[in-house]
Amino acid sequence: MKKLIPVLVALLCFTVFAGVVLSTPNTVLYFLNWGEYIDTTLITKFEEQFNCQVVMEMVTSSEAMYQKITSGTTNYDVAVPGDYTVRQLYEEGYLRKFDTGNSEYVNLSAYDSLFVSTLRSLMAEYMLDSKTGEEINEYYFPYFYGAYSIIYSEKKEDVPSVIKENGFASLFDRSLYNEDVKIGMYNTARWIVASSLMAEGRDPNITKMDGTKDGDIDSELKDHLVNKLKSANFDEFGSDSMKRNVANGSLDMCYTQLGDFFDALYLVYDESPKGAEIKFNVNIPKVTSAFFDSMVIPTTCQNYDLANKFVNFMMDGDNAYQNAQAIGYSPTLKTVVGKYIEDAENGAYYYGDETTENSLTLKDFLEKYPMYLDPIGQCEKVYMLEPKSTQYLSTCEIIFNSLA
Amino acid sequence: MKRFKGFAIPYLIWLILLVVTPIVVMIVLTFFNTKGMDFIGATFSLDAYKRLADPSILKALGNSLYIAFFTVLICFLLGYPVAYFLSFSNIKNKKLVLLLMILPMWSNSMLRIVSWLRLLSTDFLSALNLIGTSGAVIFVTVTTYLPFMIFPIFTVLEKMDRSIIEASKDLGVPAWKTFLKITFPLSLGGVSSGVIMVFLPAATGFAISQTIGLDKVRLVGNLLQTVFEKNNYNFGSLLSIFVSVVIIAIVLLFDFVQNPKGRGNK
Repeated sequence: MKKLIPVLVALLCFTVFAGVVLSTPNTVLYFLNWGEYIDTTLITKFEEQFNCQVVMEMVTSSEAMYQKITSGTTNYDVAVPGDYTVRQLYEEGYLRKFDTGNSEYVNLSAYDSLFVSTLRSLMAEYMLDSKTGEEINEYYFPYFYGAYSIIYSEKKEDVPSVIKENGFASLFDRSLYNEDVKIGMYNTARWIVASSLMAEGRDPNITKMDGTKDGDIDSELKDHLVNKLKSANFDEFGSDSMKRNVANGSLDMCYTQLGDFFDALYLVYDESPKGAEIKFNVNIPKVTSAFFDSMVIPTTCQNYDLANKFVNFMMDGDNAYQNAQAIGYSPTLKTVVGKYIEDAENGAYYYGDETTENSLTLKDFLEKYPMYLDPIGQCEKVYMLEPKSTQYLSTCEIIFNSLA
Repeated sequence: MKRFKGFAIPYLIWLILLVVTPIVVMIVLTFFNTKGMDFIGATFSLDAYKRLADPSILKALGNSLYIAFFTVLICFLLGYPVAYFLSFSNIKNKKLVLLLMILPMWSNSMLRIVSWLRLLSTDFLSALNLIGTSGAVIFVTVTTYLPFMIFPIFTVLEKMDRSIIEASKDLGVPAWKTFLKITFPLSLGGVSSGVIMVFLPAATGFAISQTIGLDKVRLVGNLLQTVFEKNNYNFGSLLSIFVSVVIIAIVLLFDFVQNPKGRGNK
């Protein structure tokens, strides 16, 4: 009997193990995404609907995303790189065209009429094949978009008006304010360079003072930027923490993406059950730069059909609407914008409902923050960051490092 | 011993594969412009060397050494007495006390760093404006690496022949003199291990300066991390080699100052 027990235990373990293995879906979708950039209930829904498993990996920078896709260590089925990374991946042959002709993927057809018009014209102007000059449509599906902006605290009287008047220049010149202000800058070297160039009304992609955009940043421009940034004397370099600091007033303003503002806004509502006092706002300067992240299928993908199904699922009007409500970045699909407007008319709530004390109706929300559905509509000049060499990016890092 | 020579072969292979080869690859990488680690389409270039001459690199390295030096100094001043009194005390459960000291290290170090950030941002402590200063970075680095100083010193003190100290006392030497002339010199081996074990991670780390220093205190580790992240393996390799050479030189110098005649003549 004693000898039998270990055998039985081993058998039991094997059975449990085999049971686990058998119950695990055999199809796996490898999804490369940014942190907090998808409503995870949608992933569960997709897994149930298509009897598969979604393995999500997260990155914190475009370069890391690029590296992960091109290194080939994991064969991702779907990734969400930013605009210039999409272009770079396309040029280097890392992207596979979507199966848009397949009638199974209803949300992937009619590519031209899917996206909101301001975004569509950006795509038409910017997402081009460098050799043929034609649009690289159907290799990417814009997922969320937005513009670089300034989140500011309304605690100090002159801050809102100075920012409105001066755009990004208000981050670099403390003499514009009557009193001492605390200014935060995003800790991404390329954004630091881009913001200081846009503050001067220049193209964020230039490498020389004369406006040339090729090659690496030359020493004249580099010295100019280092001096400018040094004199700006930022109080903080950060990422996700800065929006919270502006929301609670410990920082007067910071450079960031529009979506960060709505994320912070929602958080403040969520954390103040007795009625939220919103003392911060956002400004999109007249000269700014837009961005959009898109779903793509890398050539290394192992499960092309499932990848198409996944993007088709995420581009579905209802799913995309649910996702947009959870994330806070601006929706790219016309149908989603339509749903927002329709729901606003029907008295839906942005936060809470009629029983909650600090609720906000969707109508009030859209009236107060029209830039949510139209981030770049009011801008005079909208740039896009272009693909750059590692040399250029290293120089940006050295410029950032010079501020230590 | 010759009979057992064969047992060293696996390690030798390991060493060649995972230490020597990467260093050679890194040295080669510094002379090229490559796409990451991909040598296809590589062109000869001294771009990495030109970048190394940038004044900001030396400044970042200087910051790193400054932070590491004060971290080591404070760790020594705090850690030595702890190790000393623990070793010479009559507590029964010395092991338990030691265990309690490393208890925080059972949690992830990133978690502890973020906890410090939260603590320093509380209403009470934020008035001191510590976040974003070198002082705060040094403080958190000390709390992170202090056990690495205590342990080697404690081990050396435990193994020390107590009869020598008793002899000194029997001969009427005052306690402080016994400490200075006997205990401390005999514990120097532990101190030197502790110094190296604290100095190396403190000089090359980047998480603390990024989180607590709000990226205003930039160390060479921060630069290394971002350069590799931006796929510039050429400049990254050169920078890594440069940092290693500087740190090895400092460790050797420390060793030499401590024991000028060299280990062989001990």
